[in-house]
Amino acid sequence: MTVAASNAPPLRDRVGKFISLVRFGWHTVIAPWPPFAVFLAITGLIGGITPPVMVATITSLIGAATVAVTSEGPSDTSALDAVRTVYPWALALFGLRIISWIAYSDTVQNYLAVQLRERVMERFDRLMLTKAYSVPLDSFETVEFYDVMVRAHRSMHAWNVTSQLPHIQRLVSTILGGVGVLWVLGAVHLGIPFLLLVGSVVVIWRHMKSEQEYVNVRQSQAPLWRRQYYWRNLLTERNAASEVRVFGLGDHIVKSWRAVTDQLIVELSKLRRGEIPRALPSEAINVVLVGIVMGSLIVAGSNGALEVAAFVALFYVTNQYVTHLNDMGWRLRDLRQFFVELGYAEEYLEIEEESLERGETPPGRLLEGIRFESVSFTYPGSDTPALDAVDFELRAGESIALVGENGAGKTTLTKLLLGLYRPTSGRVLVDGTDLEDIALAPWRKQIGAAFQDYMKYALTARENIGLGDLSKVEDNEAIEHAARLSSAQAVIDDLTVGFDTMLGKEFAGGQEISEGQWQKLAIARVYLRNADILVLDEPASALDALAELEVYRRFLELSEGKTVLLISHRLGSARLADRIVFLRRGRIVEQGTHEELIASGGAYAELYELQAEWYR
Amino acid sequence: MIQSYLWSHKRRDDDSFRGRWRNLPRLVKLLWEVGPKELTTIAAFSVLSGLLPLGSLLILRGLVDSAAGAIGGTESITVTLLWLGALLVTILADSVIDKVHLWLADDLQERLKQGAHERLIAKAGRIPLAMFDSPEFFDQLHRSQHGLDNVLFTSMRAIFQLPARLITVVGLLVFLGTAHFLLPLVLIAGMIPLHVSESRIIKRIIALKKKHSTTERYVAYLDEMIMSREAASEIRMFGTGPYLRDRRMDLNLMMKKDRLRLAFERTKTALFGNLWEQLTYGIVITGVVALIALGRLSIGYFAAYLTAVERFTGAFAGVLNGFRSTDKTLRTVWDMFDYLDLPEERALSGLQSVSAITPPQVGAPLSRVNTNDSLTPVPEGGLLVQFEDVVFVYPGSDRPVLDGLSFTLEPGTTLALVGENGAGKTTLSKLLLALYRPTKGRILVNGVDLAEIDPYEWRSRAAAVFQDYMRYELTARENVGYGDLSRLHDLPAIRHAAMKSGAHDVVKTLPRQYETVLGSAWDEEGQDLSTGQWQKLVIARAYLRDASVLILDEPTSALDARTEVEVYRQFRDMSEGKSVLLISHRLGSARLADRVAFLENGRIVEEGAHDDLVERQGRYAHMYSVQAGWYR
Repeated sequence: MTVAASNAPPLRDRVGKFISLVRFGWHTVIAPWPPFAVFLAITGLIGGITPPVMVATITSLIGAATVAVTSEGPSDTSALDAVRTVYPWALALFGLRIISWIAYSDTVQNYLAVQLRERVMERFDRLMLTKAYSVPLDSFETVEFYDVMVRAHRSMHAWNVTSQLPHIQRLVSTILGGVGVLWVLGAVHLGIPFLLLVGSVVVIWRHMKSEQEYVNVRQSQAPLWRRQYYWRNLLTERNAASEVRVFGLGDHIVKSWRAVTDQLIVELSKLRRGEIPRALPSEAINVVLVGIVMGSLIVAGSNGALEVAAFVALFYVTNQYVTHLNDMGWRLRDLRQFFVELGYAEEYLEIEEESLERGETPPGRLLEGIRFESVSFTYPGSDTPALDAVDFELRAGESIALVGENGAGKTTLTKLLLGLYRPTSGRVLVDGTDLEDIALAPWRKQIGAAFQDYMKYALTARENIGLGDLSKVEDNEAIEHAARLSSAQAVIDDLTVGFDTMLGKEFAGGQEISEGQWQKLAIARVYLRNADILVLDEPASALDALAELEVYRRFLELSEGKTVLLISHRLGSARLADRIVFLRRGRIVEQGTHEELIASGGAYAELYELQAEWYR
Repeated sequence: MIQSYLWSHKRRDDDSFRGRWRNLPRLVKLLWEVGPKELTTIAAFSVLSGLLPLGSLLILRGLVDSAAGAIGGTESITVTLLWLGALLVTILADSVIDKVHLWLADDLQERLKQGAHERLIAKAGRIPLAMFDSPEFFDQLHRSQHGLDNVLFTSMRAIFQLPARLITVVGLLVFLGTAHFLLPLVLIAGMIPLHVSESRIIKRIIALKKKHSTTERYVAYLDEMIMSREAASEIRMFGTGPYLRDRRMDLNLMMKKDRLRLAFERTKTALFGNLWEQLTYGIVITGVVALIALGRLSIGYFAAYLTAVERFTGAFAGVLNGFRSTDKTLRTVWDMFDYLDLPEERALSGLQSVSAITPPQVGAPLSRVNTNDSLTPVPEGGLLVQFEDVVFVYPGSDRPVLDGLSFTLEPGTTLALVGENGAGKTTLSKLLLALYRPTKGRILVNGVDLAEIDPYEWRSRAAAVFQDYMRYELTARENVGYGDLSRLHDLPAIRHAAMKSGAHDVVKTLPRQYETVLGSAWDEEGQDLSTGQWQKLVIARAYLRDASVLILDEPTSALDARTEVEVYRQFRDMSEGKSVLLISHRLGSARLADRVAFLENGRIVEEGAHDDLVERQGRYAHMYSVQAGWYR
């Protein structure tokens, strides 16, 4: 006991956490559309009040009818009178029914719930997406981030937090009803509510314990959900379809999907089945206590301490309480899950974001250059550094070709330069200022970057280029110009509706283009942005020889006066750069001009010779 | 050819009541096949749980009667206590059944649901690749999956509770009719309008779902993209996050308007139906009161009658709801059956075994190739592949990608396919793998039309490195092993293939070598690779398979110079005896091929050995000299 207590977070923290969660819940599922909550509160009250009123009305109605029948006797004139006495009560009953129908029927509630849900989801989805692009890039390197993200998404979408509000309403009226029953029974003997209460506490305690087990299992299942989704997409999405067919992977993938699915089901199934024997003792205790209460009622009745009418009423009420109790248990579990799921959404939305605006505004134009000062970088979860004490300088207006073997750290280096990753140690200096102290948004705005894994957006051709500089999406001239510079114009001309053609085949009206053509669009994206610094990572890897020449020729024209970092395995194109930096296993081993490096006969010269050999 | 009739197969356009309900046996059969045990258990339990409340009510009444008797002194208290015992047992049983119900409902239903999902997924793996070029296919798959998740199983309980409800309804109908035959009729008439309006709304809900399916998929696509690692760098660099998000939110706004309008109309029409229902209830109560006041009914009867009316309306509403749910389900599974009925690849092609194809005999005309002797082993020297006037037009396009293309890939030789971006090189390789079928013309393998050959077996003899290869976020071993599943656990074979492609050196540096999960999303010790490192694994994947035909589509685009040389050096060994199609923009590597074919405007415009083509001073020579220019 003491050990467990010392391990648990202090009560104050837990209370604080809960308060923040409640506040989050208020902003997330109530504030977006208060009418629904107000409706639930009012109807909850009505729902609590109507049943007793209804019982009273029915009793009065019967009474009135009895009086009418017995006093007047069945004659024609008195029948009218009889109806007259009875009618107000019948009308009242009818009215009550309409009220309780408004409170409980799905008809009105559904509409209000849809209104709420649309608003809640709109708000949440906006926050969810904003968060996804606001967290630092290295979040995507940790498993935990994906788990947190998928749990938040599921809690709002698949589990649908908003649909749980009516459950809370019902919990409140259930508890109210239970308290009312105990009150009535307490009037007979205080021991009765006491016994019933003890039984209830035992049952509800068990319910909550079971719920905690579910929470734990569900929480641990996040990676499995992702895996299940991953396997499914391998078969149902387009990108793997060719390989799946050529290598005959279909059955294997289905089998793998099934294994994950089975694991998911079995884990929960074990819990559900196990809950039956585990809950039995607490349920039995409760039943015994209820039995004592009912038995003593019977004994009291047979001893003449209770009248028949009172006995029957009390008996019904006790029985009703027992039914209520189970209901209350389940509703409390719903409530628990509600807060847990809400907590997942909160957890995700509270991930720390990259601060894009904080820091000095970088010089609009690079004046001196960018310097790496013994920069090391290790990916989270890895123990071998991707970059190991790298020192080099990219002077303003200079172009450098970054060369090296696969996995040498070239791409990682560019990501540090762009401020996408932060050095594990060492500094990246921009005109002498540490990149840490520079506001990232304006810094990135200053750079045009073509990534090796360029995106193929299933958007229009216009957007595929326009995403390079959103202010020019509608600027036909600028887009066309960028397309011409990257030889993408010919690609566009072949599309059915030119720039406004959707690309990719998954969506209506979409047209597919070849890998090389996609790459031309990716280059156009960079050209659209009139950047002062260019970072090009294998920009021509999928281009044919003519297009490659064209792209580099343009590139030479455009890079006049710009600062350029070029990565290429085509060493012929590396010659275009003023200087070449050779990277091996995260370290710089050679640097100099092409001629110098060839003359020194080192690693670069060897590599260049190897490649030139193809063309002799 | 395939493409043209993919969508012309029999669609279920028969949206009549009968047309829908004709699907019911098939639905039951599907569920039965997926899980007979689960289905019967759920059905039995639903029926039982419909009847149980009646039983416990009877016990309660017996107890109260007996207790009243005991209090009145007419009955022994032991009998009453026995009744109490029975009641306590039912209370305990009730809470146990509650949990059994949870277990059954959630668990078995989940199994059944996943079993049905498995069918959908497996189907996706068996249909022709061309389907994946059709948005309609994706929409249908999306709707089928959504239907399984949201419609089928929510209505299943309502369906299975139908029998119990029907029993209640009939019993109460008789009881209610004893007061006056008009009373139950009025009650029934009161519930019909709501049923009719709800049925109409359900039809519109499903139509709306259909209308929204593309947009919903698109929203999901944008969501996934914005939250993915692939797009993360570009989104941050170009600051496109808000734009992509707003685009997605705008799409949702359109759908939101539709959904809200429908919800509003649903409530509006349901309000009238509901009011009418309440009105008829009022009429019935008034009638009963009048009957009592007139002395035709006893007062004691009134309380019982009131309860009976409540029970009857509840049960009858349940019956109607079960009926509507079934109808809704049938409207939804329609789409799913349509999807499940899509023609599969093997049904669309001949099923001739590849091993039936004998090697072409020297000098013998190809048309006389013997195709009957299935025992003839596949020739050691690779396969002869001929394209004869092949035309290929992507479905939905009018521009042919390949336009009367002919060439021959001699057994055991390498053909380099060269051409500008978008010339159709990749498309050609997919035709050769029988992933697409020619719009016109034929592809012959050792003289036999590829259309006659079992595509699965044909591909089991082929291996390919695609330009947009897959990076499986699985272990390194699996990434290579997927080239030949029979060797998925054969580490020596996998290591051998990895050595040939240079991947072994990459894997050696990983924390758990071949058992390292690649990509960063799955395992704390997982690691992502650089593009070039991935490419080495992909080449190993192709090498693992002992194939007769090898297709390499830009296999070295991301490799460094040293690895490229190494890969091509090994390639000579690996391609020994295979027919190889090599697509490359690095024309130096084309020199390794026996022949070079230059593709332009959907045809081969130049063909010959590298040296001959260079001498000819044509398109290829020009391209080659442009590239060689970098190294002069």
